[in-house]
Amino acid sequence: MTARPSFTELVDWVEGRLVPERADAVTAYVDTADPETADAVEWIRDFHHHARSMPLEQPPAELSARLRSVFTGLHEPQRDDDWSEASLLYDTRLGMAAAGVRSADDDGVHLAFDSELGRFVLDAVPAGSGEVDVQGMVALADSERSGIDLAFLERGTLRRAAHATADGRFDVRGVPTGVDELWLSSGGTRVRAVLDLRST
Amino acid sequence: MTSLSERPTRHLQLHTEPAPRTAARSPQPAGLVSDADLLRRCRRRDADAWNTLVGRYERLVYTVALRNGLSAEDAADVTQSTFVALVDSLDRIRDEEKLPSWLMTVARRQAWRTRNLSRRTTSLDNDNTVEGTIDPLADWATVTTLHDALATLGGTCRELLLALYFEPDEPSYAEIAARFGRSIGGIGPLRGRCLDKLRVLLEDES
Repeated sequence: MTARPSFTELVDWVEGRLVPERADAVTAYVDTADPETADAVEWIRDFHHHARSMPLEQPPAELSARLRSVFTGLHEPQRDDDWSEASLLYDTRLGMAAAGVRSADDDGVHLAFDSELGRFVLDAVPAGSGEVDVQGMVALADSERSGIDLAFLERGTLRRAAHATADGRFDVRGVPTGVDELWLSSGGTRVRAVLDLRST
Repeated sequence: MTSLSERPTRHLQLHTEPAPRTAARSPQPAGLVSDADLLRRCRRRDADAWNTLVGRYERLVYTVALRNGLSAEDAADVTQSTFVALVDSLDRIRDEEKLPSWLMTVARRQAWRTRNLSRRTTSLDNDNTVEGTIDPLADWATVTTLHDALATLGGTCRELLLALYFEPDEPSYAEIAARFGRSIGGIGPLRGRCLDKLRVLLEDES
C-alpha cells in the first residue's frame, strides 16, 4: 500500500472524484483501519450528511430587497409625503372614551389610534426603572399582508424595533419611557404616532 | 502530498454548552470582513454593512423558516421579522462570533409562533409536526454549530464550502471556478484545505 492519503484526497475519494486506480488504492488504505484515516473519512461523511440535510434556499428577490430596506427604514424615517400622522382615539390618562376600547385596569398606559394602515391599540406597562413593556395590535385596513415593521424612537433615535405577527400583534419588552414616536411601515404605507409612555 | 492534520479527529457531534473560546481563526482576505466587524459598523448605522450581513445570512434564515413547516409567504414574513429582531438587538448581542446560530434560533422561534397561530385559525390536516415532538431539523445543535464554525472560518473558504455543499442545485466545479475566478483544477485542493480548517475549528469548539 502507498503512503497515507491526504485529507484532500480522502474528500475526493468520499465524493467519488478519484480515478479508478487511485480510488482502489485509497479504498485499500482505508480498509487497513488506520485510526486517523478512519476518523477523517467519518468526519467528511458527517459533514456531507449535515450540509445536505439543509440546502440553503434563495429568498424571492422582493424579500431580499425588503430586508435591505429594513435597516434604513427603521433608522432613518424620511419625513416626506409618504408619511401620514396617526390620530389618537383614546388615552386612559385623558379619559377620552371611545367605543370598543377597553379601559385601564392597572397603572399602565392604554392608547388607541386611527391611521392610514388601520386602527391600532397599544398597552404600556411599567417594567422596571425607566422602561415599559409594550403590547399592541394593528387591525390592518387593507387585507393584503406585507408585514408591519415598528420603530420606537426617542428624540429621533431608534430605541426598539419589532415586526408584527401575521395577525397584527406586537410585543416589545423593555421600551424606554422616553420614547416619543412610533413609526409603522407596511409595504409603501408609513405612519407616525406621537407617544407618551409615562404612566404619570 | 499533504498529510492529515496531526490532531485526533472528532466527528460533528458537538457540545451544546458554551465552550472556551480559542484563538484558532482562519486568516481572512482583506476584502472579507467578519460578522463582528459588520455588527460594529451596523451599530454606527452603516447601511452597506447591513446589506452585507443580509446577503450573508438571508438564505440561512429563510431556509430555517421553510424547514420549520411554513409556506413561502409565512417564511418570508418570519425572515423579515428575524432581521428586524437583529436591528433591535444590535446593542445586546453578546457573542458576535455566533451570529448564525442566533439568527437561526430567532427564526425557528418565530416559525413556531407562526405555525401555532395558523393552527388556531386554519385546519392543518396535512401538518403532522408538533412543536417539541417532531423537529424538522433533528440535528439542530450540530447544524447551528456548523454554521457558526463556517462564519468563524469566513472569507473565501466559507463562500466556497457554501457553494459546493449547501446550494440546492449543486453547481459543478466549472461553475464554481467561474464564480470564484479560479481554475477548475484549483477548486479541489482549495476545498480540501477549507474543509480541513473547518474540521480543526470544530474540534477546537468541542
